[in-house]
Amino acid sequence: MHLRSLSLMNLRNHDQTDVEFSPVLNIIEGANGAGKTTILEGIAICGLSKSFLPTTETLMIRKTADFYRASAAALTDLGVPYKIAVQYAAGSRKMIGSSIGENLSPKEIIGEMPLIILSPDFKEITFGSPDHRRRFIDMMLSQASKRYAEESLNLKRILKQRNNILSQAKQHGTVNEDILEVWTGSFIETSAEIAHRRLHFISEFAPYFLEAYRQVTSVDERVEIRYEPDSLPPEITAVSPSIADLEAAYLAVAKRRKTEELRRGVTVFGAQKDDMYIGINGGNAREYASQGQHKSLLIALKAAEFEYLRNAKNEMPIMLFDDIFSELDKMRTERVFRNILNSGAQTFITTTESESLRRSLPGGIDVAFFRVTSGIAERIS
Amino acid sequence: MLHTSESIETVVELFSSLPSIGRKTAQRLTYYLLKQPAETVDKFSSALLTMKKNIRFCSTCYNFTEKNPCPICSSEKRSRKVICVVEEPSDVLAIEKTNDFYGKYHVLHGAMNPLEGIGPNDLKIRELIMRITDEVDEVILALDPNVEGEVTTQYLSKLLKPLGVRVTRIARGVPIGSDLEFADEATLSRAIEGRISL
Ligand SMILES: [Zn+2]
Repeated sequence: MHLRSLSLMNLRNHDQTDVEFSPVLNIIEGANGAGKTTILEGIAICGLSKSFLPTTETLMIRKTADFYRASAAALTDLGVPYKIAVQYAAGSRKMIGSSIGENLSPKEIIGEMPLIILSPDFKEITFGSPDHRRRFIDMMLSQASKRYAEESLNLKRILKQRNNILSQAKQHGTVNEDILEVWTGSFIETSAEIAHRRLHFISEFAPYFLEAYRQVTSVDERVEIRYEPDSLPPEITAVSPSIADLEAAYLAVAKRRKTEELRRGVTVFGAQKDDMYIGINGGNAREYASQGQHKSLLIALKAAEFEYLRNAKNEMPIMLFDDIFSELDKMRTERVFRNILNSGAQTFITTTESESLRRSLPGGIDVAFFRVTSGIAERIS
Repeated sequence: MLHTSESIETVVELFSSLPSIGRKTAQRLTYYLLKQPAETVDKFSSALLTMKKNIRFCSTCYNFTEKNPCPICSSEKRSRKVICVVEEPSDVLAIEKTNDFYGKYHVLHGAMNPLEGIGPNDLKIRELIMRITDEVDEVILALDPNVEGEVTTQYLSKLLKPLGVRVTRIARGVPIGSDLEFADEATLSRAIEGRISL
């Protein structure tokens, strides 16, 4: 897949931006706060229905405007045109229309234009709290499978409903057992479905990750990756369990911890608490990895995500790199850069200064440079 | 609101209190009505009042009706052996359009939704249980295919099964009339899961 053009209206400091892209490499230069990342956010809105940055939707609407709109025209690897437009006005539902149809829900477009995103915020994946790693898995799997996207939205919804019942129970000291039981049943069913899909996913993802890490670093280091469910005993997850096995295990946890849940007024188990273990040289990367190893691990995760998604979708993902090269040293920059260019994926890079990137570019490559100043993007030579 | 009159503002407020009507749309509807002749506006207001005065719940199925019991409940042509349970009166309309269902209905008026404070007692569930007599063979649960509809389906199934009635749910499947390849992946995935033997 590659993007041919992008239009932004009232998105952050962009009033009206229309840009056409190189199918290979696009370098977007601008000072901090100029609005270069907004171009990547616009692409993310077209691919994922929302930005990759933690942000409030209403804050993304330009001051003095009452809606934002992002639209894009792309071509699939087979040359089929794909169009998408997402519009959001404060207080109303997102309006999404694409080549698939009008009035779409987010899950109907997620994955149609597969994206791999690397932004400084994602450093947390390797050393932050588990929610960063869950978000990493969810973003990838939601793009790979619409069913996963749907189940993961359902889990959030059921969890909210179930927590409401539990907090009411805590407040009033009493609960309707029949009502709690059906919500627990539904919660367990969805948790098991998601845990099952994630377990299966990690087993497919791990070889890509190990290979990618080997390519990023030249030294011989032992890395490992595995799924670490919060509430399930390891002897169950170790033997590729069926959905029924997982449901039975969750049911046992639900029974055992019921009193605790009623006392605390909140759900204390389930797939929303799971983690992904990343190990390096026999220790947990969160604690043992050096700064350099953290960078290599993150790049390897993203490179593996690229391979995984390309295989799952049978479509070349689009790469978005938000100011990430400022975080990498020269050696890693060049290695990463070479790999990206070799992959043939369309790539977008934002940077505060494009000079050093320009210098490391191989000759004869189809590259487009853009400069963004106060929300105005222009193509430069 | 300095630039508008109080009576205009009242109408805008009323319109925007309707489901899926935002403030912008409410304004557009208000100004549209304002430009219409008095008779048109009169038709609107009297139609609303007449509807409100004449429509009540059917005391059997809880669908909206002008006559109690409603035409479906009082029809001799419709089987009493099958009751189809739906969330809203508009769902009855949708199923009636198929011309393929010959049983009776039961409208719950919603689904279980703790966040909105809707529990079983706020729905017409007790009324449904009262209808399960010996002459009823089957209850079809046709609730919305979302989290709340699913949980309500499970809840009803637990209540109904001990009454010795056959409990079924409508299939979740692929839309007919288009190619399989155009079906939404999530729907297709569920359809494969819910496959039936031939
Ligand atoms: Zn009736």
